[in-house]
Amino acid sequence: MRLLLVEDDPIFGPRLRQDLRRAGYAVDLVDNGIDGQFQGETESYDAAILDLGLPDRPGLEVLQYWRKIGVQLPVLILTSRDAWHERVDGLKTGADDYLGKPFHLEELLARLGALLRRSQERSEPQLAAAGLSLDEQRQCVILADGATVELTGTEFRLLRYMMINPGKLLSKSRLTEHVYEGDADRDSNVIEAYIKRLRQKIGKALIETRRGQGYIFGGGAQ
Amino acid sequence: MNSLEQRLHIGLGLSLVLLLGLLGWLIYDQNQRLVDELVVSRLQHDAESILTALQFDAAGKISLSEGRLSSIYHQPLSGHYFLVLGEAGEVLRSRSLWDAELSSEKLAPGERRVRRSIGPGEQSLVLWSAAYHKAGHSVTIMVAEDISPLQQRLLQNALWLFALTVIFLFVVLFIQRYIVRRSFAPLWKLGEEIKQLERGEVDKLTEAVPQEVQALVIEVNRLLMVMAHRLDRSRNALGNLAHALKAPLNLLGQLADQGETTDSLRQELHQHTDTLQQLIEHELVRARLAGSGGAGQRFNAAEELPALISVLERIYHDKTIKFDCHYPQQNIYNLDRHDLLELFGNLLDNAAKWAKGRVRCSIEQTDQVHIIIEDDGSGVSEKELDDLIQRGHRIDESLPGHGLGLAIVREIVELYHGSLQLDRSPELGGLRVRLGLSPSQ
Repeated sequence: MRLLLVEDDPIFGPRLRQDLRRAGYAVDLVDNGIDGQFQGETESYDAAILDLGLPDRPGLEVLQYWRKIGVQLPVLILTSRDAWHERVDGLKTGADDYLGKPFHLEELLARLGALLRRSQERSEPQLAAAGLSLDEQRQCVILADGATVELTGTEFRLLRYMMINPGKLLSKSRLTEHVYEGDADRDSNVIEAYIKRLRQKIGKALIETRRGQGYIFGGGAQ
Repeated sequence: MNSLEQRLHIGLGLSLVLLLGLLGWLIYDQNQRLVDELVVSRLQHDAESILTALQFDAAGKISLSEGRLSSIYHQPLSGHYFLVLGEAGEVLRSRSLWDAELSSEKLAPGERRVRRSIGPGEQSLVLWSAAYHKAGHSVTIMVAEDISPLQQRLLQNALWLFALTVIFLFVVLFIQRYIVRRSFAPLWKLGEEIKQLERGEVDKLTEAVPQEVQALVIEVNRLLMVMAHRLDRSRNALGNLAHALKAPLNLLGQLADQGETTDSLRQELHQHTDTLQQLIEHELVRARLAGSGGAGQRFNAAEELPALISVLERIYHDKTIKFDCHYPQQNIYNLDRHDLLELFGNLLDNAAKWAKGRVRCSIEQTDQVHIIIEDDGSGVSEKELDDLIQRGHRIDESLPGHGLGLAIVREIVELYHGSLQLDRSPELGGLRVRLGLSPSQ
């Protein structure tokens, strides 16, 4: 899953990006309001983490703009302005969650997870599809026979995205968008290679290839 | 006497009375003079016709050819009289004089005299006398006319004038009252608006007022704006300070968690950064509180609480809490929105933190604003609760789980001259917080 992180602090921003990457997210970091607004409007992210005190354009204005033009992106506001009225105003503006700094990383990850589950209309915390279940904490997959298979970062992101959208036709470009960060090398052959490696780990049948269109996860098995 | 309306009435009334009095007196006086002049010129004519009617016999005795005289001189006490004095002192009197006497005097030839006198039957007479020469004899003719009917008429006119003047005065005062009321109407409206401002129902005054008070209204609005801006600025400045301080603190905390630090150092670092954070938090919240008395303060629970509750639902996403809230739909005035959100945020956060599944809150406005928040958790033990209740509303900040939150709540309650009571909820079993705020004090 790909996140947009809009945070202007030169030390805290990259550190948080690192933490989020470690937790299995592809993260694009932007350090000002105008770029953040543009990225959120034009790229397809699964969620955005938005600071409020941003240079060039305040976070609340960015959020207001997104909501006005109909960007549905789930937004978690992460700010040190955490008086109750500020939280209420943030939610009224269209944020989906509001977390005050300082925070514990686990809290942020839990809230982010809850936010993503809400946006995917899932209720159970454990992601499971087509007999597989994904351990998001440890970034590994548990197969139908109970065996645990370790995944690399990209494999984990790819499998998670497919497990969130089981039975749906996923084009290579859509997979690329949600698995890679914006500045990564987007070669569709790379996706093919990762699909191949995933098939080796979880079984060939689970990922079906539609030539020229993309892939369907768990479609045939269900 | 401080009523402008009364002042205007008295001012206008006095000047009108003065003006109309002067005018009335002038008219009366001029009429009097006119009447006098008319009477005198008529008397002169009468005297001349009497002179023509005078005859002298050979002995120089005076007689009148009665036929040439107006019949009015024959009618007794008709109000028209004459008297002719001859050279030798003989006197000819008109029949109308009857047996009344008129004081007479002989005048030198060519002399004329006008005077007033009281005649027969209390008649007010104007006497005109002159000396003439006729046929070599010198004679003094005195003619008199009763002017009391004329005077009466004059008086009547004056009375009429007076009555009209009084009516006119009242009409003018009434019209003035109307005009004054009309022109002061915007001021009454302004007064009403200022009351609304005090109650917090509006946050500025309407500037569509008469020119005379517009400057005042604009100035009041400007002051209100300056005050609101000042409050905003200091709140923002504090927010910025928090922002600036929290980020490095956050980093310190994260640095402490990195592998190289020893456990004891990590613990100590965490302890210090936590203390710093709490201190900053507490002082910031305290400084942000506005208290009652600002212009345009209002709190709409129906608008704010659902949003606040959804904030809490996200914070406590891992448990299902049923928030059961009752509140009035309309605005509660003179309560600062930020203060109230801080109050409810802290109380509901505490309640949600300890609740097993239910949080209840209610707001009711009578002469005070009554707030009750209760939960079904076990946020405080019996002993802690007893301690709390025994100490009344003095809450120790070091109470576990109720540290900062309740301390801030207490500050807000004090700002609104309120009361704070803690006990065990009889229905839900958890902590019950009861508040009474007096926003209008």
